[in-house]
Amino acid sequence: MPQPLNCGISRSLLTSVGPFILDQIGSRAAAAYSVRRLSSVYSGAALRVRRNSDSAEQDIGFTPVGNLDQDALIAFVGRNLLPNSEGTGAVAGSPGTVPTGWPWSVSPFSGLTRTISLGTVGGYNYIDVRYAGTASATTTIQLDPCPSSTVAAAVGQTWVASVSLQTIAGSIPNTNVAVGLFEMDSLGNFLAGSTSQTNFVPTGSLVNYVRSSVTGNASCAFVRMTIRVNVTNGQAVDFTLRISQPQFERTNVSTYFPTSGVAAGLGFVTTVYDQSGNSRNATQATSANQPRIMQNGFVFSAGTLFRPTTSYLGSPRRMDIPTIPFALNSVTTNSVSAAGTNTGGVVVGHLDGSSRRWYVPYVDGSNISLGYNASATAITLSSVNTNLNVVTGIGSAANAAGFYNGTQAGTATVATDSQDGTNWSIGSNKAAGPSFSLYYIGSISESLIFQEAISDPTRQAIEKNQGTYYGITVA
Amino acid sequence: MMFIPTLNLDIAKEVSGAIFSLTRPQSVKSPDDVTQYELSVYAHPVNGQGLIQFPDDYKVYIYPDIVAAERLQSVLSSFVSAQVLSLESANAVVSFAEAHLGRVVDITEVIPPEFLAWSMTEDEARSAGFFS
Repeated sequence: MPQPLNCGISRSLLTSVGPFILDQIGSRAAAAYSVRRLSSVYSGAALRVRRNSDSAEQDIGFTPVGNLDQDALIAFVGRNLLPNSEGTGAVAGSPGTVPTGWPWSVSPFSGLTRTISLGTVGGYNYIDVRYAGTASATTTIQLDPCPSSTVAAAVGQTWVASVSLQTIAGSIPNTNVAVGLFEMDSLGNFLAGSTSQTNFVPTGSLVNYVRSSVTGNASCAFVRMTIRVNVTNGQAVDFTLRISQPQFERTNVSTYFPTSGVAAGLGFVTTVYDQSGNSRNATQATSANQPRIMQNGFVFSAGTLFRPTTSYLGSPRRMDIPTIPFALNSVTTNSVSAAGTNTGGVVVGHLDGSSRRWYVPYVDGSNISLGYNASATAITLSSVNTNLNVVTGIGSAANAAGFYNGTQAGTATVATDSQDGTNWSIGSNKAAGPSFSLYYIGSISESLIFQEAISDPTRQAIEKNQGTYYGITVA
Repeated sequence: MMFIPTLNLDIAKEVSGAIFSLTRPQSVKSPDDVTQYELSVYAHPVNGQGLIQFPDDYKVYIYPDIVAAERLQSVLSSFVSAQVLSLESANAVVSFAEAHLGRVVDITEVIPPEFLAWSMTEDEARSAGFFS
């Protein structure tokens, strides 16, 4: 949502952690978008994010020093890659119905009967499962909370399985409940010898147990969280185990995030807030077209300093900018972006009704270019690459000029056309239709638009600031 | 990629919005939410027809929330009233959605077969005058 300047935050506090890029320059931006704070007087959020698990949306702001508040982002989007951690679909009874997508052993199982009871604890669902009888084989009771082939993985990744367990009644056979993971191939078959689990002894209290593992099989394509109890042939069995809050995530254990049909960890950008003070927020109301900020519980990052970024991979993704009228001889656009492939499309673009372009930059299979007037590739800035780059395009009364990481790369003959400014967007030009060649395939961290040709000192101040923050060498 | 034409852009948006409604619980809705649609839509520059775009293998999650199915029924009823969709087809799609609450399904399962029969490729859509 548009935020009034200085709303609720004292200016003295904000200025104490600057300087920010818009504070350092004399020109007033027409629109300014970034994953970091750009101005000491802007008090709104950086992004509005939609999480995939239930499509709820929330604004994500900045840390006190002006970085994207990644802790708030991760807390909102979540990192639980189990699609149904809350066990929806379960029905109490004997044998009862197991939660949707939980591949439990069928019942009766090796002479054992199963009874399921349901409830909540601490606001989260639990399942009490009782097995009773005499085991007719030495085998394993499977209580996995995770379908076989839904969590993609690769060799060398750290995975953390956690779950709260409690012995409600009886004794767990052979004392232990194993918690961990199985590695699976691309067809969802178990990979022999690729099991990582720890035996825990659940007590009479609900306790969270954690097992961290690194995948070790080169054929690993999926991982499956497992909860298992071993029984021995002829063993008398009668126990009730409470299972609650299972979570399966990458890298680190984090606060439990409940899911009930769709895994967490995937976050989309619905709004990039305009920090210029002009409330020209860039928005995308169609979920299929929204860029991503998180995937598999990780925040997208770019460059040598791994700063957060927004991903436009998987076209078509685009953020639409409200009208910014301008003329081709009086405009500046600056962007920080990294092409994900060699056919990257348009980072920040405008296309008027007569096919006059302003693309800063346009990436194709050969070059990174400034799209200007009648040509999408009017000024070649660099050969194509996938580095994080700073690109500035300036249309002035003298000429149109393109700058690549601080170095002027060329000029074009000035045109004086005035544009109605209705087709601005980030990640394409708004008039692109389904033409995928114009949709940017890469990451975009920052975009500035001015309704004027900024001066050389102003351009250099902007580019130096961006170079320092994002770790880009700027001439 | 598949493209399905509609009588106008509003209808395309309504269908896209109804499909988005299927994917989310009503409980998390906020007045500040930006997202309204699931799929890209386009308007024909001359005759005002709408066009819905989605990948061939696109899947949607049907949230276990009966209100979402009601929204789908409401949208499809308007097509039935306009006599571009049979009541049987509309009921079949709604029944499918209600029977698959909490499941991930192919998007073609929640679009009536009459509409899918009108689907076209990007080249065919361009030939019909879209995107010009």
